[in-house]
Amino acid sequence: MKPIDADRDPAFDRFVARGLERETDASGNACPDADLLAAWFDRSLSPLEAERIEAHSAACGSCQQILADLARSEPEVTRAAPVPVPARPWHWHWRWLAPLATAVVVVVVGTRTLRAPAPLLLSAVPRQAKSAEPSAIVSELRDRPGLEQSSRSGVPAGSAGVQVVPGGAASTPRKESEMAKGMRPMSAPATVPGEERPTLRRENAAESVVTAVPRPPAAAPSGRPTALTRETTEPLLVTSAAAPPGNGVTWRYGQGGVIERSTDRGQTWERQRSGVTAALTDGSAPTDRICWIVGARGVVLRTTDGSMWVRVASPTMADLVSVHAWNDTNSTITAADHTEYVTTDGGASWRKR
Amino acid sequence: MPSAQTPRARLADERLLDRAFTRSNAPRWNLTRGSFASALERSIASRFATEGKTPAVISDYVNSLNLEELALACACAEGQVSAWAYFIECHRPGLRAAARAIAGDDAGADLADSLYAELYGLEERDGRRRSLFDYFHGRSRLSTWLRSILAQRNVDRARVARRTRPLEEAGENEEEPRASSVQSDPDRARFAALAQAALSEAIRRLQPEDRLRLSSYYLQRLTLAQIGRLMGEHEATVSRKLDRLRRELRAGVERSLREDHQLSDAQVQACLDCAMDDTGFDLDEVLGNRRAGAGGRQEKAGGSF
Repeated sequence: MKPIDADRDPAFDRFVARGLERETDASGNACPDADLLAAWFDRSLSPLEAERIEAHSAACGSCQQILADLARSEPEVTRAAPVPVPARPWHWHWRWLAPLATAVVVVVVGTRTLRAPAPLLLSAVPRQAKSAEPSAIVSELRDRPGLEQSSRSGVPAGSAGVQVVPGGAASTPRKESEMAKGMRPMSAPATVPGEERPTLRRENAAESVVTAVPRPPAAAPSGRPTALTRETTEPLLVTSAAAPPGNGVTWRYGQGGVIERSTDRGQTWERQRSGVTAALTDGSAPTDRICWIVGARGVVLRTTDGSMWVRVASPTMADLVSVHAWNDTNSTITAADHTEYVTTDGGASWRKR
Repeated sequence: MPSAQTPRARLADERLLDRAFTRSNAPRWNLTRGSFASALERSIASRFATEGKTPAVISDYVNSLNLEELALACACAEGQVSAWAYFIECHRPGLRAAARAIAGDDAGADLADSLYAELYGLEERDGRRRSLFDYFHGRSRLSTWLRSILAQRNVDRARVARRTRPLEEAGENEEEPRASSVQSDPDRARFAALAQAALSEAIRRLQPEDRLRLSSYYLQRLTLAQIGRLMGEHEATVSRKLDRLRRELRAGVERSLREDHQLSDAQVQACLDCAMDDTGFDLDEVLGNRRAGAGGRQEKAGGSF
């Protein structure tokens, strides 16, 4: 007698498929109408109605095919893959912290000593502008979104406190275009110290700036724009699938509770107040105004007007890794331990599944 | 779809109607309050045709509707030009893409185009055009409803095509009855029949949700991601659940054979071997009662999860 093993057995698969087929009625009798099947797919039915549809569809070949076609034809919602909890090397290798910090200081000081004062933000200026007076350049830069962000965060523009994200300048344009296509941003390649920094595109100057100064904890909840940390330059991405053509609304989110929205297919981004500082891991936007985002420590956020985020009462304090929303009231969230919770009333109550 | 003919439920709460009318942005399409109220009443009647309703329940229901899209559908049903222009601009690309995903590249365009006539409504009854939009009740997104209609039309087309298929052609595609070893080995036939019966019983005992999940994978050949979309789960969860179901089915079949039919371990294994043997026999073929499979799919399941 062979043990029941977990390995796939193609013969058993075929046996099951034939069994299911035998047990499926393809007559199409007494089927629910398209309106109800669509509402079931959108999770808009009451629990009782949903159970009826499931009970019927489980044995009805026609309804199974309609539901399967609904799943096949659902526009691809760009859903960020659940983010694996990052390893925390500092906890394991904290003994390297001091030597590493020393090395960083040596490299930074050495670089600045050996090279002319790095025109970090000058690299963002079109080449023909490099001959202009520094004051004029600074003045021009001050008007740029990136510099404005730096200034607001207390980091003087063009000062030594401002550093360019390694490789960020070069990678940002590609990253933006990929976001517009619904792709996860690519990781920025590392810049070799001393290497010529590429010229920045004007609209991306903001994201090329990173501050070495830790972000004040109060900054994020207050909703004021702050300089982006390294993590926030690579936020995850969620695209509204229901955005009408020409109205490409996109949300992106990431570490530190950062949420940003673009209404022009990722060309420009507007920071939104999330009210949380937890890492945000997944989002789902059924329309261009409704979006759900989940994150670490049971954070569930929802907007129904595209701008104001409300923290929804969460059924768990576990890290959440996935959300799938159908509208402003129906959503399924998944915790890191694979437990699923379903709400049909906008998060007022949750049912464990 | 009987819901459009359902007698209208009176929407007595004027304040509720006012709120819904405001939220729906109906004036954008030059939709009158009366027309919108009619659409809302049809929706309420469709939902509560067989159930009692209280004002609070109706209020909750109305608040849960996609009112903007209900207003758009209502305006399109009335033939408002601006509403149609918006509908075409916003939904035509999605409709075409969905039709291609459902029916394939060639038939998809035809399927999508054929829907517009129905959506506009060419038939008249009581002096009023009957538009397919009248059957949209705002319970789902309009895009989902449109895809559902497309899928339904596709199933209908496939059914008609099967019915009208010439006999010779139908015969060509039928598998030749296998020269099975059943006749030469009566035990083999009995074992296979027992295993199939045990499997059928195990399938019937499944929760509807689980059975739908299995059918989506084995019969509809959906990917894990697509099943995830259907069931509202992450694809990793789908994979885990399918694996569990497969184990449970196998355990259920073996338990049934062992306990209900008092078979030994060796006999149980022989049953499974007979049932799973590709070149072995199929009880349905022998009995001649194979049903038309879902969507006419006869492919063998495979793949991985």
